[in-house]
Amino acid sequence: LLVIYAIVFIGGYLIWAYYTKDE
Amino acid sequence: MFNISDTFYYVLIGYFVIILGIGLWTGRGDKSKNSEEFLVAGRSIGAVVGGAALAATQMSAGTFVGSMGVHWMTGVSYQWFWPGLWLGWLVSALWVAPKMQKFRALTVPDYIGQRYNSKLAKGIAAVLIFVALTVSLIGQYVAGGILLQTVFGIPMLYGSIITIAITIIYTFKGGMKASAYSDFVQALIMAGCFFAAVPILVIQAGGMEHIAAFITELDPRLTGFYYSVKDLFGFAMVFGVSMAVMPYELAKMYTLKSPRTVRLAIGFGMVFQAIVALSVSLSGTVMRSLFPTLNTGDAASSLLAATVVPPLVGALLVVAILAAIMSTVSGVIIVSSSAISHDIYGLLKPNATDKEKMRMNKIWCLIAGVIPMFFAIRPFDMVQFIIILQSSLIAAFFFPAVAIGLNWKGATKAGAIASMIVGFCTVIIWREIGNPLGLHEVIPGVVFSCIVYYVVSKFTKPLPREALLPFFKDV
Repeated sequence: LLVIYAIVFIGGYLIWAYYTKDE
Repeated sequence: MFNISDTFYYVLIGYFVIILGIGLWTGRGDKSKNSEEFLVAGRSIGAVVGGAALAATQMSAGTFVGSMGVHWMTGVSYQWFWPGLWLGWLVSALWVAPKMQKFRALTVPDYIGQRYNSKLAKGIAAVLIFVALTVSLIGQYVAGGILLQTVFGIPMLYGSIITIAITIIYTFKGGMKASAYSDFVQALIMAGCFFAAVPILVIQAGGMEHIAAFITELDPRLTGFYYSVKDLFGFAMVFGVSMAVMPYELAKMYTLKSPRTVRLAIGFGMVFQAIVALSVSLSGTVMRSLFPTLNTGDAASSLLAATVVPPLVGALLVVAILAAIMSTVSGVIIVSSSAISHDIYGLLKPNATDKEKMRMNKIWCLIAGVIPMFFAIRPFDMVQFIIILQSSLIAAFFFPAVAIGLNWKGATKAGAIASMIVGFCTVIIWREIGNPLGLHEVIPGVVFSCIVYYVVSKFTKPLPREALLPFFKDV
């Protein structure tokens, strides 16, 4: 008897959000 | 009713004092006197507090009482709706939320009114938001009532009155800013307390191997797929699509500083949600091994707090569930009351001053908070399914008008109005005639409303260039 999915998905998302600048 | 220790009362009163203190402190002086402050916190909230507020508003009684009840009933497979919800956040971060923030409106119907250059569309959006959010509040009140009744033996009605009164006081006084900062504290309480309780619970229940063996014997579907992949896809779609266009989440986007803050806040919000998702999934399933039979799964979380864990942890869990309820109620009340006082009243009396609107706003805060109580006395379904109904309504009538409308300039006034009405009615009718084809009502709701949006827009008069200018650079 999710953690790994969350770390990969949310971690990847946060890296993208951090390096994306506003136009 | 259990013989609970005094610790529960001390912790509960301590929590109420802290939350009221935050609300009154952020609302001190004249800080929440105008609409800009009251509705969007002066657009001053940063990424971490904003992210916690997004998560706290989304994670409601639906999560701790409802989702946990569903886990108790159906086992582990239900946890896979969370990735769907996170995909919804991703859609929002790519195509919806940053654009909404940039537009700097006060309310979601404000955006609808301007994007489609139509007062009628704005009015319809405001009314539908008010209806859907009232359904959402019914779910919150029922859950609060169940919790206080199970743990403290307080009658349902009084329990929900206490919870709501405190929430309305701090929301009323401090507006969106008080809501956001108390959300931040409430998100920390939710994630921290449940995460801390899980190891205690697993040890009490005899360890993972024992639990797995016991519930597999009870019903093999509990550790397998009680819900098929098709079912889970339906749940994921409900939460994902509605998450991207949920009015009380979009209203929170207006409170953030910049589009980049919006994207980061969504990420931090997902971190809070992941911690809670894991805790709820684990504790719901483990509770099944301790209490194989209950009248309703909705009681599982209250029982966990009252009987399984030590009193201090149990008291903190009760506070965590109340925090989930109150943070959602405060966010929802601000948005649903503004739909009437800011949007409808503003349409009926175009030259109303900000002061008049604010007075209306406070009156409607009270009304919007009280109406759902009449329905909550006799709930019509398990908490989670009440929440899913309102999410389906929002997803079906709002997704095209908000999410597609921000990205496709061909959409017209008639298309938006038709899609909102068709989406709303499809969900209600599909549900009433008993879900033909075994499809959850959200799927035909979203599909029909998107088709109508596209087809009607193709055949009706395009919008004037001025209306599109704030949203698209190249018109």
